[in-house]
Amino acid sequence: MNKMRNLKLMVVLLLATSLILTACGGKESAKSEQSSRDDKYGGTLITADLLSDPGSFNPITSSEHSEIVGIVLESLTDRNAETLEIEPELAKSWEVSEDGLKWTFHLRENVKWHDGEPFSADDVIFTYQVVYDENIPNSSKDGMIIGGEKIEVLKVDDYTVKLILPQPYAPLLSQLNGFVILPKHKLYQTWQAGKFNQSWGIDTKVSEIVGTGPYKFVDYKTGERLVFERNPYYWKKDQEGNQLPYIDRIVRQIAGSRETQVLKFEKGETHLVGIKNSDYNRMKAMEEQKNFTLYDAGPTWFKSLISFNQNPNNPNVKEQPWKYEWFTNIHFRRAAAYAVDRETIINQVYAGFGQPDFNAVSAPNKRFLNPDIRKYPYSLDQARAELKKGGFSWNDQGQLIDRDGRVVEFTFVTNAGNELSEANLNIIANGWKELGMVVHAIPIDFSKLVRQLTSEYTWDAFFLYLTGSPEPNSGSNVWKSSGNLHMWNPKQQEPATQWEARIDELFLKGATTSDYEERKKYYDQWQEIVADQVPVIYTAVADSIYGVRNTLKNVRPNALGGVLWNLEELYLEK
Amino acid sequence: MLTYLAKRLLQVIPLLLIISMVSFFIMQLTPGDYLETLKMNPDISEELINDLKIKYGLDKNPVEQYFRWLWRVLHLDFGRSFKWNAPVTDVIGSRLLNTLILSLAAMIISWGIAIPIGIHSAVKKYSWSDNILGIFAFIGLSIPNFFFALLLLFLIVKFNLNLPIGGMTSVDYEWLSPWAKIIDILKHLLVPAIVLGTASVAGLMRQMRGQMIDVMREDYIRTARAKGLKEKKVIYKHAFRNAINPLITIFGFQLSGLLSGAALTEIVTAWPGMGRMMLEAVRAKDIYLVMAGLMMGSILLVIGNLVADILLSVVDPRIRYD
Repeated sequence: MNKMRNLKLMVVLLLATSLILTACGGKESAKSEQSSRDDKYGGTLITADLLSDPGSFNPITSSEHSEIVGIVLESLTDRNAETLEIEPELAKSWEVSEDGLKWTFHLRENVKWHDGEPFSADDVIFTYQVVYDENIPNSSKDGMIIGGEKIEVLKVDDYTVKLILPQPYAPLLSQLNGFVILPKHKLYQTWQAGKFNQSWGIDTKVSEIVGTGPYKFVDYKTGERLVFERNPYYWKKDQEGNQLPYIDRIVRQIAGSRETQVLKFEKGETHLVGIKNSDYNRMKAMEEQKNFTLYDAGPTWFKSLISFNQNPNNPNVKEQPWKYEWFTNIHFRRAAAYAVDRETIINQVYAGFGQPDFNAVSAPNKRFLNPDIRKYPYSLDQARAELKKGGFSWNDQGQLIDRDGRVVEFTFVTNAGNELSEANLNIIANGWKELGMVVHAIPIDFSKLVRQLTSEYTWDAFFLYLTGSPEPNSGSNVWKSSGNLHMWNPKQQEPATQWEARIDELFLKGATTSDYEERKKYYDQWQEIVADQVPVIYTAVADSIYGVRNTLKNVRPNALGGVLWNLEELYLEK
Repeated sequence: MLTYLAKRLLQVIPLLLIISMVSFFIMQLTPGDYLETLKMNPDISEELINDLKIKYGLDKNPVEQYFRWLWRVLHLDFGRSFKWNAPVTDVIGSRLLNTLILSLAAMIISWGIAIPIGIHSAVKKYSWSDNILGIFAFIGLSIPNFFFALLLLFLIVKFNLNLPIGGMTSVDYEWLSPWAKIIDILKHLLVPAIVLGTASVAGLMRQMRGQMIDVMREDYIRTARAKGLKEKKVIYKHAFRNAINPLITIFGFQLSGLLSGAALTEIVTAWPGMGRMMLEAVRAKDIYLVMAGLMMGSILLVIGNLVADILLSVVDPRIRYD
């Protein structure tokens, strides 16, 4: 293969020299442009970014993120991980009717599936049929059911699809980004035979798994690696009109552990690696010697949060009604927020790479982040002042007591086994102990924690990491008072408080208004309310740091997409 | 002998039934099920969780689940893995061989080292070489496997040795010649096999040494020496064959461990084996996969014991099973 490549290069060079000869010089620039363009093509990109085997390759039935989406499979729209704007992918353009109900999508023509079959509107219709099938439990459906009703999907012609919504739905384009289009010619029969749930599992031959993406799926070796090969007919071209992608093969190895990932990178086996913040200085020291660069891609999208149980259905409320009293007391919650020593968390847990967080929206979400909200910088004095306002005082031993003289004592849990969670838990608990609270900080088994949060409701306070999303509406399960992840008081029939009712209203408006400026206003207000009422206390966000070998070019890492978000534009220097 | 074999094999059936029951219900006693982790995902609705519950049969009570599972197993259907959405046999399939390769290599290393140094230590007991070998064996025993594996990988990086970091095959494995393929796998095998192998050297070597010392005191050894036999013959022909009995029993036990793998070592060295898969399965409460893995381990334990007993009768003609 290498020989072939050299031969081709020689032919190109010969042609270039002959061109120069006939043009009697003066075309020097054309030559260097030609060769620089050819230099970009080829090579194998090797990563070890997977920690365990993929659960399934089926993007619809898999409940975890499918590892081949974006590489092999594509959607109608795409979110640019840098600008966070929605961009065309399989749909080249779209328009929406005045009332916001009828969306017309114009599909890209001449797109081919990896096995050569043409992509058309039938594939889009088919994907909707599968997702709406009662017998196929899937999470894509949730984003495509609007106000309890399905979207009506019509084929106008081979390259035009019309979606008719039951009511205006602003997050549609963003939902379409996660809505992966399936090849009808590969899966229709399977679906008809009622076997869709078992299709595209890890036992499927990879040549059956075809998409329209920049890379074809060519090999999966259990427990070892996924291999992808360049799709020479990909629809995307670079700015000079050259065919993308540049790199020939992508190998994603399954490393098993973070330590192995880093060692593989140090040895020079891989091109990129995600680095623990605490490893930054050690890695920085060998940057030059080992020919790589560390990138600080800014704060991650993860939210690290604390919440207090405000659920009146907590079975413990009958025996210990005072805990419910404390946790529903806004001054108590504000005091707790002031007593979180975020600087210590950043320094000790994130090795100095992070920033304090007070906001319900993820820090890098520049489209919706509202910086002008109430903040709770670390101050024990202010915390004590809040506690006094809330009717708390201190006994002779310096313990915090409530109006009835009861010592404020509660348990504070997180998921055991996650060292970051456990470190956070201890630092936060120490801050509260400074206030005279008796805090039992205990890491517990994750499934036990989930059970307490979602069905038993017996917890007092927790610390957890949750994922954040560029689209605020995807948090509606958490923020609407009826949501099952509205953790401090889930599944309310009627909003328990006025501010929760207001948030419900804002989320409804935010989802049904299509104008971005107007939407931003609603979500700004939501962030203000959350910061004011502190049902959830945010602590700090870490930066995501990547090590990338210097031979990999065009690299622009960010926290949302990592290093590979612009995979098709990356190239390897020879 | 044959009736003995048949009897032993028949005993296996109730034993496996009890093992399966105990493991199934212990899995049920731990809080939560496979769907628990999905509940914290803001993108997954409650309806979906309920649908999946029905699809996986997790809405039924545990006793009914067990008997459904048993019924299917009797028809050789081991169920589907939740996590990997594929038949359990497919998930285990390729990993089985990988684990076997690793365990056998580790076994060869540990027995290959332990037996000779055990004999040497016994013959030259309390000499300086006995002491030093003993120290090394115990260092091997006391270093945690995952740490030892990381240390070896770190040294490979530090001294830039021509050895791969983790995995079982290289990226260009498909294009290698058959011989190069074998060498490639051996290169990858080196670190995990040494780690697992050295871990059990100390135990085996001490067993071997203790047995040999006992046997060397026997009258027939003195007689053999008095006959004027060469020391080598005394040790290997007379003493060794008598001292090996308990080690054969240990060997039987080790056979059962062949397929269970070594989760931590496999994770650190990225070896695609059963141990890593079982750990993930237990964590995810992927119950049918866990059950299949456990049952395989149990069957091997039973078979291992049987093989050990048969081997004993071969090595020691005094042992008869009639």
